[in-house]
Amino acid sequence: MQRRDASRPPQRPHRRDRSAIDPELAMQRLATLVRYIAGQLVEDPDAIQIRTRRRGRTVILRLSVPHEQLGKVIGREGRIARAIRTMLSIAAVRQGVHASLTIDDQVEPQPSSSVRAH
Amino acid sequence: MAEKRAVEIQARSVDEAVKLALEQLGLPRERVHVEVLVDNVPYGGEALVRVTPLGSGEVSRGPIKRPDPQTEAIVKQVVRELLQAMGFSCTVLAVDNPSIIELGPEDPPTVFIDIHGPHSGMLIGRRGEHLAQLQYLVNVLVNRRLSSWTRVIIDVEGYRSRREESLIALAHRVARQVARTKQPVTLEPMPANERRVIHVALRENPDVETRSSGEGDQRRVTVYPRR
Repeated sequence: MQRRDASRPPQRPHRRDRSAIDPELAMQRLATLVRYIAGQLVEDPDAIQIRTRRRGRTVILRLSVPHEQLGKVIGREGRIARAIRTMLSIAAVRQGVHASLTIDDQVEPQPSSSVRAH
Repeated sequence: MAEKRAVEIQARSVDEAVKLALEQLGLPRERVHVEVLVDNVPYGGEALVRVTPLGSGEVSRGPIKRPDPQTEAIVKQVVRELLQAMGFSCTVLAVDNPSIIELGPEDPPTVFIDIHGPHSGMLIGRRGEHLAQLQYLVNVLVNRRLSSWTRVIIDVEGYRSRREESLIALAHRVARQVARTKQPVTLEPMPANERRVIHVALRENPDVETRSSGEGDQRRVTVYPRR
């Protein structure tokens, strides 16, 4: 007996296939966007940290800001944070991924980038 | 009362923009007033013109005062860089106040920004929510760079202008109904800028008066018959 679907093409490309955009590259671009925005809001752009994780096409970003400057990226009633998240989600759609952003004050010392020549 | 309103058109040259505007309005050149809002053609950019039908009562605006070019340049740069970081390649223009709401002496210097380009509809969002967020963020970023408080109002693909036109049409429609029935009508809740369009649109209407009531995002305009 022949299977009914035997005549179908084996792998029809998905209609909204976005695999053309590398999710790894998308993650980098989204991190750059968050750094670009947050870097303008704080006193010292070098003092902020962005950590990224990825699960398939979902990008998880974590922005860490020195405690005393948290308010500058969160804003009154969280309005700035909300605007950053909206810009992030629009950019994520452009990159064909989903993105989420958490903001905290858990800046960790970075041995590689925080060492500066004297 | 489908009165023809001003149209704003962007094209590769002033002549082309005027031609397109005349086609859209269906009027000959001598029946309109042409203002060149932006002419970046010599710099490889585009031209933006506003074409107003003569006799529509819209030409009689006072001279429009714009913030200094340096301030406008900084605002445009902030918007361009942000959009680029978001993955958009859009045209960003500073334009004259496109709204019927004229700036008063108590208003801060205001830069009006027009965004056009591929995928820019994504920047509007449902009921303009993305646009509101973009505008808020740009205001924060701009005022981190400028020494004196400056306001930025952003439009994407004429969304705000279209919204304003439909609000004005709504205002006149409701006003006619209120004048006829002598019963007040309360509109949907609206943000402050949209309520202001309704108030201004009906300011000189002899039959009705408008008041806002309610708190926060439930604040709405009621149109009352004038006694």
